[in-house]
Amino acid sequence: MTFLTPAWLLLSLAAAIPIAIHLLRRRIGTRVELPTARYLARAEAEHSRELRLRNILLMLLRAGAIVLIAAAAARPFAPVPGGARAPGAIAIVVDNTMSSAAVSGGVPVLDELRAAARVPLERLAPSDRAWLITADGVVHSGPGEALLVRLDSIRPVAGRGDLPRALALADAAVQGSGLPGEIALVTDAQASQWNEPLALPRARLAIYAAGSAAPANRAVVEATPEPLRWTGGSGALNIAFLSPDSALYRITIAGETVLRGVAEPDGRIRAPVVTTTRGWFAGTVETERDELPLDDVRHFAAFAGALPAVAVTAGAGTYAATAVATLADRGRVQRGTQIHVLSADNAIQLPALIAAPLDPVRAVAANRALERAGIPWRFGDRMFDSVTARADSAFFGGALPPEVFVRYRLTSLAGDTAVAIETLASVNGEPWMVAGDGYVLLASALDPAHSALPVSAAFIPWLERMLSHRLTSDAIGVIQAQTGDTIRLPPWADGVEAVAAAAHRRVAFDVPAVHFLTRNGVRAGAIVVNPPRRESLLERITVETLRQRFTAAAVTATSDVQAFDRALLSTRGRREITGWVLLLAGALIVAEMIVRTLQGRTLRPDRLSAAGRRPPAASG
Amino acid sequence: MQRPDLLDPSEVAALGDLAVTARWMVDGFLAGLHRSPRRGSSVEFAGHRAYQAGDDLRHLDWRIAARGDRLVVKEFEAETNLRAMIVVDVSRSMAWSGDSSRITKVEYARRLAASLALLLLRQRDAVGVIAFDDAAQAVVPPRAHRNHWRRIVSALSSDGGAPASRAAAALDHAARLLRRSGLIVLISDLLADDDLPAAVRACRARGHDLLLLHIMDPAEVDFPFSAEAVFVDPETEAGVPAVPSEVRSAYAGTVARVLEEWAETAAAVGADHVLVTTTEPFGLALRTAFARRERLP
Repeated sequence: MTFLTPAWLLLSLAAAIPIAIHLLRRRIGTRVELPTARYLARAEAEHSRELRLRNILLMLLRAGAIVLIAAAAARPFAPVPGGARAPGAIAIVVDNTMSSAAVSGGVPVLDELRAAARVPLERLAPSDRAWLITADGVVHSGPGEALLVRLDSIRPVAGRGDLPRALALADAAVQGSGLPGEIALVTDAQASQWNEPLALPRARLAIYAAGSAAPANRAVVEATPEPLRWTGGSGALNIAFLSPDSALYRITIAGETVLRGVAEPDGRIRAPVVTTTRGWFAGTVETERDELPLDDVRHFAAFAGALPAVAVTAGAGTYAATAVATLADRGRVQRGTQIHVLSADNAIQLPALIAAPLDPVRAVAANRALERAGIPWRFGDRMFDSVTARADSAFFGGALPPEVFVRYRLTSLAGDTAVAIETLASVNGEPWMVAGDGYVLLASALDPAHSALPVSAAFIPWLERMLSHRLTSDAIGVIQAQTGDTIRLPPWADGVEAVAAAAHRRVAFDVPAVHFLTRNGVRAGAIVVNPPRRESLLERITVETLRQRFTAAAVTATSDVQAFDRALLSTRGRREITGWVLLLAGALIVAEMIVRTLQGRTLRPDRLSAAGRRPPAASG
Repeated sequence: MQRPDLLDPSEVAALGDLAVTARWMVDGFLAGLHRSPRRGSSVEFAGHRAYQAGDDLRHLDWRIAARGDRLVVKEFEAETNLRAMIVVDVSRSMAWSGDSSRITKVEYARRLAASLALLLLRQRDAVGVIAFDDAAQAVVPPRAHRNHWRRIVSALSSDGGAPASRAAAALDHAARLLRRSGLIVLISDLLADDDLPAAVRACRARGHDLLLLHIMDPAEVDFPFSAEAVFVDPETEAGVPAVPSEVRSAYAGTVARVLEEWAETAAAVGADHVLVTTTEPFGLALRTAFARRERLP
């Protein structure tokens, strides 16, 4: 027997009440005077065994009735031969995340999950309600035949999906049906997928976890160009592999193989690459196809072009000058007048990296210069504190943002919209580093007295990105994304090449690829979409561990299809037997009343006359 | 109009004191029998009283009249066929009623004893009374003259209520007061603390006739209680916790067995045991006792 709402079984704890009364009844407090109490004591002594047995019987009948009422409240189901099955509802969630594309023992994991999902679908009755929900949140409803067709057409998504959301949709569907129902989850129990607890307090959940062993996996988990702007036709790729053994790899650019090699198990390499391609290009790093092919290719994008020509004015400070010189020595920039690095109190020529003046007396002159340059920002009050700047995690190349000691409060003349869109970094919620068309403006001087940026390890890489991308018109930036992510277009991009205009400037891609961002119709950046690295980790958790991840009204988990079949209530030949249980409880209650009243009969004085042997009355 | 001896005892008790109601009941009882008092076959000098007009001159005491101007007549006590002792239990257990609308067992016993005593005196029998609890509280030797009635009423009105009942001792005392064979009527709830059955056998061994009027309140028979409680013996203070619905049947069986045991004990020695509940009209118990008296030689 199983229960639809097992929480009500806690009511059976009330069965302890008649037991407690039975045990505590000798502590009665009321006193009643009765001269024949000695007869009562004698009666109890003579009938002690009968009284004890009767009391135990009454206690058992009462406790049994309470337990049965609690069982009825929990809505029990049991296999009942014959008769029609009551209508039920079932929502089947199929884990078709990228890891389900792995092949184990010659069988794709998704096929194994499909076979388990087929079990309840094949038993659906016309009166049942059923839904099929995939990891990417697509919901299909309909009769069993239609859902079986849908099931066969499910393909693995190239990413991680959102299984918690899929389960929430399943729960809402079942609860909303008004029928007794459950959720069936078929999954490969990937450890990186089920690493957080999940609560579905009203749901009955039956889980099938793939019984096949997780195959070994080989994947390219990182392919990052260095630098993003390749000059002289050469650059490098930082590549990371996930592989149990040595991995052959191939690098392609624009579809052509440019490099082959061998990497060590789980190795990281920095591969120098030469290309004749100019402008923005897309490339791939590929390894040998294995049991999970979706992560054997990783995409990247880079820009090949001339070095930015950078001029540093004296007012920019020695740190800026030294950093530009370093970049020039490394061949990342060249001397010239294409891009300027200067202090705001100098005459501003765009494009420029503009820092606040070190001398506060020069602030007025700086504001005049900003105005003449058409930059809609002004330096306001000087702020003194020691606060770490806040920015996007990749903005400072993965390093911690610098501490800021002195800054000018930046005021936008273009309204709040401009502040929200072009703020690159902030301090205490106020803009500290902003960018616009042809400029990057810093609210502190490039001096250690104002911030730790000039003396941090992130300074030179940051400066290179600003000079090579942000302040160029042709290679502004790259957005790294995972399959299934929704991307908001940056303010400097006006669209995505070959993609229709996105609603609310948001786009999502389900397939790994490179998509180029355009600016004024020309490629200015890229969105690089790859599978999430975690999906390449195919290790699985145990069935018991998976079951413990869930908090629900009832949870069962198994790797055995027959056990999964037995755990499913809604579509099995089981019926709700609440009525029968209530009937049995009623029978116990009636039996208790009978046992109680049978002992309540009394002997009347006339029945005692024979015992008293009243002599016949004297005749008159 | 219903005979007073057949009225509800509680109603009778409400109509007057012990003496009044006893006379009333005896008159009613005798009227029901349609008999006149028995006359003795011989007489014994019982005492003098002043001459009243209409007295039989043969009873005039001439010797006293010759000595002075005082005229007196002799009174004679009829030689009785019966000397009787009525032994009444007035212990604490008797001072109980199962319902506030009913009289207590001791009140019932007193009125029954008073009525029985008056009935026997009207029969020219010699009657005495012992009221007892843990000791004899009042003792009236058996006499047959009319004035003896007042002493009996006074004895029956004595206080009792001690937390013990020495019925055997009272029976033995009554047997000694009778001197020769007579009738002993024990009116008690038989919740005695001494060996009453042995005393019963001893009475019979002495040749006395014995009638046990076993007084019980209907609540002691039916056990009509409903709530769980500790039931306390007012004499011993012993408490018995019980759930009435569970023990009622067993209790009734025990009461029936107790009554059977008393009946057997009495029958074994030729005595009588009669159950009398405090809701029975006094006339029924009087009839039982009177029938017993009539069977005597």
